[in-house]
Amino acid sequence: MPSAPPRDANGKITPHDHPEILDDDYVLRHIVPPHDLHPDPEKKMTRVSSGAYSESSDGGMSVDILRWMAEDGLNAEHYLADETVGATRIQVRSLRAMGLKVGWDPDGGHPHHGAVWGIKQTHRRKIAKLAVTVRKAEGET
Amino acid sequence: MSSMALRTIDDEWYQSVNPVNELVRSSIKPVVVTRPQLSSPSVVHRSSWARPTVDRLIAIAPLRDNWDQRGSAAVRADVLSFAWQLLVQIMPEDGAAPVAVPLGNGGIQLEWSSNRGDLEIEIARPFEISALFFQQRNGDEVEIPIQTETWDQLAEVIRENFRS
Amino acid sequence: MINGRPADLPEFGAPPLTEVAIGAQFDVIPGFMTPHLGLVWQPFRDQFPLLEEASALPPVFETFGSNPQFVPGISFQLSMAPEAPRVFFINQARSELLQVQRDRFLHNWRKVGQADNYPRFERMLDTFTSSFATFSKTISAAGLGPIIPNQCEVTYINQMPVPPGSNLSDLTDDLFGQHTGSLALGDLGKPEDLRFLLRYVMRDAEGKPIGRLIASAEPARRADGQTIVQLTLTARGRPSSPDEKGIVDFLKRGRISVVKGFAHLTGPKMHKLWERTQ
Repeated sequence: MPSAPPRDANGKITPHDHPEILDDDYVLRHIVPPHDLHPDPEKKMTRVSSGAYSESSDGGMSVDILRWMAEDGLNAEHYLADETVGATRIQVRSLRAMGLKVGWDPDGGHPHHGAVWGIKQTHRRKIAKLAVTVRKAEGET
Repeated sequence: MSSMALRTIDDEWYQSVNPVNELVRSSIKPVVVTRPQLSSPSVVHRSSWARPTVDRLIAIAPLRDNWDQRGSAAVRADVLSFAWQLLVQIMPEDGAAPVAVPLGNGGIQLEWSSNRGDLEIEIARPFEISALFFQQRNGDEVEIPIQTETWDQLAEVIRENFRS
Repeated sequence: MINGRPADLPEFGAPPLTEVAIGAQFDVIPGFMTPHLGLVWQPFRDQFPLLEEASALPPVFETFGSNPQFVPGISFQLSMAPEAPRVFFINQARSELLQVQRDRFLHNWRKVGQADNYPRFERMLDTFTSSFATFSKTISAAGLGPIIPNQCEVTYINQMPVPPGSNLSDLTDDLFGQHTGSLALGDLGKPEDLRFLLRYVMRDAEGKPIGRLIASAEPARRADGQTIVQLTLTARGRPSSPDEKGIVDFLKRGRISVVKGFAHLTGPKMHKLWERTQ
């Protein structure tokens, strides 16, 4: 069991770098069509928008922690809602190098749920460029 | 799933985007205001970007809390209204319609893409906008922050890089 | 009483006002739903015991870009259901009300009987600020908020009836003749009636645009059949800061622009009728 994430006085998980999420690890971001996608007729393609890498109003960008899933016998696509949803993976080292925090957020729905904190507009494009497709979302080319 | 109604008005008689008394509708004595009947002008100028943009904003308007099962907030109606107003004031008539992408905090990102580069305008709430232009220079991408306190620079970037 | 009336502001003993509204628009309060309107009403129900419901107004913003703030061809209005409605809390005399929706709070006065007199801006501002403070406290106690104002508005609606034996053209002359006198055409004479929409930019101390004064006039007919000219002046714009102080600052400033605009746009003959004292 990973060490407990830090919480505030109200019990809410606070932004943190979890020590058991290693720099060499990867996190998985779900890509939800059609709204996460940017159709580009000029380039004749539909790509993932940088907007797909934004934080929620509760704080943090929701991700799955891939190594923990693998250690528990789950494949990378285990938590994807359905066949239309795609996914990209990003190395934790790259995120932390941007000054972002990558932590554990088990309150977010499942025990392998993590969050990335500190994302501003300038980070999203960089994340999008670093992200590697694990599975294309429906409509993505 | 909540339903959504949209009213678009094609109005040949000049109509302000913000009619007077938008905030005030409580007169107890209804007033019939006579407006003259006018013939429609033979030339009606329509911008090419308006209709596809309306369609895109409509498409994301119904998105509710956790629409993506990733914890995203519902797309805010006031952000959509503000985004439309921003576009009305910065788009050239032959501007390319933007893509509208919902953000996790209920705001939206307007995006344009061309061979010259990409423009992203983030609207987190009314009057809170930030913009980045990613320009292609000699095979490299250069990130250029765009000043948003006034909207002149935004209009210029669109005019120079994103026409239909 | 907050501050007194500005000393140099035009003043009228009997202005043709039929309605005044002051208020603020704010970011949609997250989580605000219809039952919260009942909570909001509780502290007001003694003073405003009557209720009416109306559909929510869409958000409105005064913004400034390269293009003018309108585009002919398409007007865009988006409404989504379900959504908390707009509710009026109305006093027994039906002359004053509060309007509440999830992104608005307004205070209105309206002329009900002929003898009703406008209570004056300072008193309306008092009522608005104390009511807004109560509203904010209720919202906070319900675990909602914050309230982040993004626009404020002051609106004065004036109705001028066509006097017996006269007509719209003559009334328009009396009202606006000093500006419209040259509109007579050599062969056709004066216009039968007139409508206009004027917009002026309001700026802060550094010259940055913060809002607009909008003046509109058009002929109309009241429910009692009386033909009138309705002159509406609205000052709308951003609060100087996103809090109650910023709202009050704009409302005071907007009121000055409205009153000065009214005095400038209308003619001396009508000023006499309206008992201008300053």
